[in-house]
Amino acid sequence: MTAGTSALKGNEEVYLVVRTRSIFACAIHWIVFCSVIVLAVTGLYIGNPTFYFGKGEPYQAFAMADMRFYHFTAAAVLIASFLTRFYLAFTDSCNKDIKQFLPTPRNVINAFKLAFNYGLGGGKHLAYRYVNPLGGIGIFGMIVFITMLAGTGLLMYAQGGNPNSFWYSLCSSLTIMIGGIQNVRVIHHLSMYFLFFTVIIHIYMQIWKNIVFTESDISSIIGGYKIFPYRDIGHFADYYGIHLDDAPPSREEMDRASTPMKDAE
Amino acid sequence: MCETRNRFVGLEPKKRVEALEDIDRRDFILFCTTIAATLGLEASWVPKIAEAVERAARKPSVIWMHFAECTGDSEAFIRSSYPSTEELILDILSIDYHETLMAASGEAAEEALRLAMEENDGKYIAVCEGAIPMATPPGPNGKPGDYLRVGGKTGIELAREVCGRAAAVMCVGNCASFGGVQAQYPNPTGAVSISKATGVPTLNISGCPHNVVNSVATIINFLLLGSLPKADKLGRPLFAYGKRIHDTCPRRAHFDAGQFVEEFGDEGAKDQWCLYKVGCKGPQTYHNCSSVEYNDGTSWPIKGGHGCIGCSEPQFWDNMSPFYERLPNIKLPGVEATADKVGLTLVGAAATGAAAHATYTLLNRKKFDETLKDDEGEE
Repeated sequence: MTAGTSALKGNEEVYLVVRTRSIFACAIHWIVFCSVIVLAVTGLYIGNPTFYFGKGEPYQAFAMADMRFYHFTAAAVLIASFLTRFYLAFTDSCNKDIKQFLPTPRNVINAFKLAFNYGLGGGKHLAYRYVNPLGGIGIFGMIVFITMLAGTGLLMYAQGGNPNSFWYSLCSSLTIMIGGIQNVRVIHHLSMYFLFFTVIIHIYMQIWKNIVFTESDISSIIGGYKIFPYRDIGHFADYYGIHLDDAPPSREEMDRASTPMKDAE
Repeated sequence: MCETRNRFVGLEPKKRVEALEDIDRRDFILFCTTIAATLGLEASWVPKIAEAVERAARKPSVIWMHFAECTGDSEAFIRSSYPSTEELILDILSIDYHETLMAASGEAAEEALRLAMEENDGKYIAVCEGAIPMATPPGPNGKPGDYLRVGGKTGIELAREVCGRAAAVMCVGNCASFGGVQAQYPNPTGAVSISKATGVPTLNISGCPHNVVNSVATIINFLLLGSLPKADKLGRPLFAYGKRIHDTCPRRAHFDAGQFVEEFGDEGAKDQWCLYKVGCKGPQTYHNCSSVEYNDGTSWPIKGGHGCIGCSEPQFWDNMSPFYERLPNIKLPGVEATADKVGLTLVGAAATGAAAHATYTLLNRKKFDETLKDDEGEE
């Protein structure tokens, strides 16, 4: 337990503020979010350009070239932040979360339990300190689709490159393996829709979870902290090999934490 | 340049007769310059090319084979005028065997092939046109490759014999290079490319038909350096297939400007806007059509207002179709749909699922609340 504790007055329930992510992981989430939005909007235009700016001679308008420039720039940002996040998954200061995203048998079983619990209600509510297994599998899907999007995007981007370079010959070998550039293109488009599919479920689940189970995942991805009722801690004490080092807060600590700031001063 | 060409075309019959005796210097230099430009060499190479062509005391022997195809590449070949067909056949190359151009027929033709192969064993250039059918026809007497027989031999036997003894094998057209239209689904004759049928590495001058400038430039490259030009992963020479049509397209400015033909015959089409939205496959097709054009720079599809169909790419009939759509359809069991339809169905399903679950949660709020209470109860 890192941050602090608080106790609600008039209610015996104790809440803990738990650090779940480093500020870098939070920042990268929103950088990826923004770049995916830019990529989707510009990508849909590139796939089916439905309007153009300015009429007359081509030099008076540069719509497609601009859209492609934004698309490639956002793609570069996405790939860079994605690789950084991959590095953070092993080295993050507070949550080395690579295990939470992999569909290990344990995660898959727990994801099914959660899906049942979330989907129909009933059963036992399970709180997770970090990403829960169901979310982890969804995010694993997103990782796969974003990787496919980035990979196929790079294959298409390499087409205009220098034909004598190693990069070009590598990409053309891969393209031939996939069955031609048109297949690469179809995979690129479909991956985008699959990504949208998982993103819609992801956003819905986060909002739903905040309302129904009062889990604070949304604040966790913005600020890096999550608030838990103390009774839930018991469950996640031993998940993913993470142990709670701290002893439960003493009464004095809780009083101190619940005292308004100005009074303490 | 165009005027010079027209003047030349005007004088053509007379010139052609003269060309049989000896080529005049002007034509010869024009030919060398055209080839240097196609190979991407600078002007200082023109004399070297001239030297190489002159020095070739024995003109390179070419054996031109026809397999399963429409003779479109020979048609393209005889429409060359820089160099002219006569120059090609008589002065630049020694075409020792060409089924549709030679006078001989029947047994004399077979004898010509045998002689041509024996005289220049291991030195001739085999030019192949057409795919090789590998399948066995139905029926009691069917043998593999029986769909094509020339002079009693199957296409596979002929191809292996001629290509196996050649110094270099050059495939002209998409059929010889990648199988062409007859190799597309369902491919009843089991047609495959020359390199697949024979196992001999080939240089592929792809296209439907191929551009003669590229095949001649390849042969000149062979004369000049004694080797075939550098090729890409599909065996196509990089000087002609190193850039996409899109990269040097005359309508590229309209693409960058976002000005697209919405349907054939609209205002954009009249203004020669980009054909991207009516299915032009220029952005995924490697060829130099946009810089050298066809029929001596007369025209090419995009100049004529029709999108590229990607005829120099492998399996273009399957992969690039539908020709008037950007993307191929996705074939699911029982359904054929566009990627957008499949994708929007997925997104719609996710949104519907979310809405359904939200409604379910509202109706069963108590159940979820009890889940939370259960936890407290256990404590």
